[in-house]
Amino acid sequence: MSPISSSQPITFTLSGVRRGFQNCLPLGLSVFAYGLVFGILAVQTGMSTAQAGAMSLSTFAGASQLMVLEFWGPTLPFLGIVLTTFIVNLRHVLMGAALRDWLIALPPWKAYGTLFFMTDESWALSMREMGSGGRDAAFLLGAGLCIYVFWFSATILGASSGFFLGTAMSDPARWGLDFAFTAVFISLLIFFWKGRQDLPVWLVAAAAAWLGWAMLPGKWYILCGGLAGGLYGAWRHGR
Amino acid sequence: MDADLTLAALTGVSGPMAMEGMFGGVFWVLLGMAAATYLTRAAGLFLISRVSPTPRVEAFLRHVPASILVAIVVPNLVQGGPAERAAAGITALVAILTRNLIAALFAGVLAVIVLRGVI
Repeated sequence: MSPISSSQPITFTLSGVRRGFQNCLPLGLSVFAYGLVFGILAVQTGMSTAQAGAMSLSTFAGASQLMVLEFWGPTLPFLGIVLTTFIVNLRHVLMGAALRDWLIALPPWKAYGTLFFMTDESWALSMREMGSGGRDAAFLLGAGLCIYVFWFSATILGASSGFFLGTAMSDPARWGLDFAFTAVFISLLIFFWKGRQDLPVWLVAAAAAWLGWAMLPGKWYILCGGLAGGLYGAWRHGR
Repeated sequence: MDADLTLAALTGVSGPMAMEGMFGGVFWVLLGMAAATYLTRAAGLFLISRVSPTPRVEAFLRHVPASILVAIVVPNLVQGGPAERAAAGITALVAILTRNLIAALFAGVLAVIVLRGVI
C-alpha cells in the first residue's frame, strides 16, 4: 500500500461509482459465466431458484457459495456451512485492511456499506486505482455493484434456465473464460511491481500459496500466501 | 457431516418436523452465511481503524496485497498445462508493454483459446 502522496481529500461521488462500474465490466462478464455455473449446480443439488438467488444477494461470495453446495441436502449442517463460509472468506479481512487509506476517511455507514460489496475482483481493481493516486472511494462501490449485478442475474438465469443453456454454459473453459481470472490477476500483479526488492516477498508468498494449495482444502492457500508474504515483509522491515 | 452439526440437532427439532421446517432451515443457513461473510468483509477496517499500526504492521499491510495476488495466481499456473502457462507469459508481456488491463485480459484469453487448440 503506497502512502497517500496527494493532500487532496478522499471523496465519494456518483461519478466514482460510475467509473468503478465501467472499469469492472470486463470482469463482470467472466463473473457472469461463473454465476451461470453456480445457478445450474445449485438447482441440481436441490436448491430452488429463489434460494440460490437469495444466497447470491445476501452472501455474494462465489467461492464459498460453490463450496457450500457440497453440504446441501435434505438436512442442512448449519455450523459446517457457516464455518466453511467464514473460513473461505477470511481473506476479506486482509483485503479490507489494505483499503484503509480510502475507507478510514469515509463516514462509517458509507465505509461499512461499501464493504458489503467487496469482492476479489473489485478489491484488486480498487487497489490499483488507489495505488495510482485515485481519491474517489466510491470506485470500490461501483466495481462491487458491477460484480453484484452480474453475479445475481447469472445465478437466476443459470438456476431457472439450465435446461436450455444445457451443458454448454457449464463449461467456461470452452471460451477461455476460466483463464480470464488468471489473466486479470497476472496483469494486476505486474502493475503492483515496485522493484527488485519485491521479488523475495513474492517468492515467499508463492511458496506458501503452493504449499497451502497442495495440503489444504478450499481457498486457504490465498490466506497462506497473503499472510506469508506480509509476515516476511514485516520481518525484513525490522532487520 | 457429523449429525451433531445439523440444524435439527441445534434446534432440537428432528424427524418430520425438521422436514416441515425446511424453509426455516434454509432461511437460517442463508442468514448465517451472509453474516459470516459480512463479518470477514467488515473486520479488516474495524480492526485497522481501532489499532494504530506500528511500522512493522505497516510493512505487513504493504506487502499483503501483492502477496494475495501471487497466491491467487500460483495454483492456477501449477494446475494449468503448457497452454495456460504460455498464455500467462503472454498476458504478463502485454501487461508490461501496454500497462493496460483490458488489453492484457483480451490477449491472455485469446492466447489460451488458440494455444489450447494447438498444443
